[in-house]
Amino acid sequence: MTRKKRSFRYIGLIYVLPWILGLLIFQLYPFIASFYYSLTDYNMVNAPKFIGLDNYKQIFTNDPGFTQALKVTSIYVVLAVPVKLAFALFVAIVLSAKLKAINLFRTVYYLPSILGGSVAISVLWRFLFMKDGVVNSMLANVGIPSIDWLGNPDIALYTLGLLSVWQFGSSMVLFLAGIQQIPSDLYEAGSIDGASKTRMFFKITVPLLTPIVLFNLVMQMVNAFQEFTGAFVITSGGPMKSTYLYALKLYEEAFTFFKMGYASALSWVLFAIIMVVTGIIFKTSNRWVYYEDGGKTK
Amino acid sequence: MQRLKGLNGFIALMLVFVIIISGCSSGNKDKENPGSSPDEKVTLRFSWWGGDGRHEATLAAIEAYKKVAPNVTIEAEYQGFDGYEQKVKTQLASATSADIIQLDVPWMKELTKNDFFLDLRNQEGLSLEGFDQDFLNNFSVYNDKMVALPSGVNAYALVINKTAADKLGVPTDIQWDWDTLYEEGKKLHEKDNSKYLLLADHGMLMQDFTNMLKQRTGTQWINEDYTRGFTKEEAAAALEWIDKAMKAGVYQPLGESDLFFGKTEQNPKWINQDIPIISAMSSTLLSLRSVLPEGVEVVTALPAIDKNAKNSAVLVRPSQLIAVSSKSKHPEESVKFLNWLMNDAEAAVTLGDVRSIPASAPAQKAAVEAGKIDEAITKAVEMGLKNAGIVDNAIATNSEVSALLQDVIEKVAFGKLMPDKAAQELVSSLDKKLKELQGR
Repeated sequence: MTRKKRSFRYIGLIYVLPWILGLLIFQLYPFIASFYYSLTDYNMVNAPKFIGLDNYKQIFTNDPGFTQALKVTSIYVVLAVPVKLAFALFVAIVLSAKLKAINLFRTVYYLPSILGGSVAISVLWRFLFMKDGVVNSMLANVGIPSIDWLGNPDIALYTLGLLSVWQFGSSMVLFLAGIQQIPSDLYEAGSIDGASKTRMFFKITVPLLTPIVLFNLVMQMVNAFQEFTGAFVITSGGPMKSTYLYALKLYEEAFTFFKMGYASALSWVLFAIIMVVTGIIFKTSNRWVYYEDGGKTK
Repeated sequence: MQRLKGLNGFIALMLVFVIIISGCSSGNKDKENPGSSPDEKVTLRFSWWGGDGRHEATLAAIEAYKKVAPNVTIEAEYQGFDGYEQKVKTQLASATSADIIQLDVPWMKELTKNDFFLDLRNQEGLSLEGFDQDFLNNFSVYNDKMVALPSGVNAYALVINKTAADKLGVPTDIQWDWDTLYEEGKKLHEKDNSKYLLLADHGMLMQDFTNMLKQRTGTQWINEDYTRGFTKEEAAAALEWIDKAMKAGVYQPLGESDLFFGKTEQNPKWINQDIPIISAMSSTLLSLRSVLPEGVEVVTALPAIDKNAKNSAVLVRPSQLIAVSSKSKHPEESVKFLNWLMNDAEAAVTLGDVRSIPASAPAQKAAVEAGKIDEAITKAVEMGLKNAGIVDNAIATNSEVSALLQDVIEKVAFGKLMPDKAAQELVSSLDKKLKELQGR
């Protein structure tokens, strides 16, 4: 390596330095520190007191809130993620058509993803879906009796899931890119053989998109496990803890009860859960993800 | 040589970043060295929660203070109630709180375990003469230190939209008890099922529940010694009333009202005058009225009191407490501002009743004389003071205890748990939690 090249290397490092510092200070340090805190009794005010694995014991043996949060979060993930992906795929297919002003449509459909996670949208969602809200008055116009979207413990979680599905943009963009990568000769061959559109979708489009499905599935699953804003702003975990997502439980322990050690332990348990689920998805992906090159470049 | 240059450049850049980052973290501290020279520019931070009315009045007061102390700039940090507690507790714990901080009474026991606040006794430039000494002893003194001053006198009351009540045939001149609330509420909802007598989120339902207990037992609902002040049967009876009232449509269903927890005035049923009565602290009356059309008359009445009450359980407490951070770089200037805010006639007239009736006598006098205190608020506070009930201890308002009660109340309000089962659950979970809290 010549000297010049070496100094280039440093220049590269300098360019990424802000990012590296950000990683070290705002991610790696809290990551390690939170593990330490998870082994302590810490209320942010007094010095942390080391208590070994007591927090973890408490979580698994003596915390009904944990069980409830886990239950709610699991339902949320299992429902919201697949529906969101299916919806994203559907819109991606529609938007892959060669239409005039297609870029405008693509942008417009991506907008909810930019807005979706914000507090303002959550507030808007509350006004749309409350008992006397816009959605119910629209339903009333077509003769459907009003539904208590957010106030009924049996329904509220699904309404929040809808908010998440609505933020389908980022998955959609990836699907869209994937669809455009599929060689058109495959479809030509299909149509010569007399395959219907539906058949081509399931036999050509879907298999060739499975790597992207895998990616979207993992990313969305990880996000869904950590979902917070909607449930916090709209329902605060209610009614009757029916939208008490894991992140709300964590927030409550940390910032209402000020049990930072316990909250850290909860976050590590969540981390472990996400790791395990991701592992399972990757393990099963051998069976359903199709790589054109046989997975050699995986 | 070339290589050295590259390395030097790298190190130089690292240094720059370190300087930038350390500069960020130390904030403005260096610019404003603490000092006592009166002409020195001083910046103080003042944080509070409230509705728009309180924000506007407080900002106007801050503006007025510029003339009193031209060298002092007050930075306002204000928001709604929702999330304020979490923010302030986090700021206090990380020593980044404002210099002057508005606080709520139920947080004080936890917060005063540490040295977060300046002892306000014997501070130069702060007059405590105008305050009722009992009121101060009850709410401002913790561990022998006077950590905060009451911003106003606040009483729990029924806030009644009289115009709507008259139209709906709801009486406004009676002393409510639990039976009359039930009867009138049932009657109203039967007549028109879009109407409810009472608006209550889970917080107000919890208050109704504990009030009922306190009235019937004559004691705290949780005692100072970490024991219950009630029996399972007493809890079951109170929960039964809530269950009955919920089913009869006395209250707006909890699923609807809780969407506006901490921001009751945004509830469309209140705005559209489908509900005439809210139990609330007198300090929130202004924001509740601000959403109603011009000309609507709002009055106050004593909250529901059991016919055979041993204690009225009417809550009279400071609307808020205002403290000075012990970490403040400018304690003297902060105390001076606090004194002005609490005692000064001009401040009192500017603030009016946005924090209920001022707690300090000279401020109260000035505000009343200027016609800045709402009649309905005055009435609520006067009635409250005359009928004041037991003062809640800190365990009774502990956040973990409240969370347990909330769980049970919600289950009853949603009809998911029968009152006797709910009472059983409350008693056993409370006993466990109280033991845990005592051991901490």
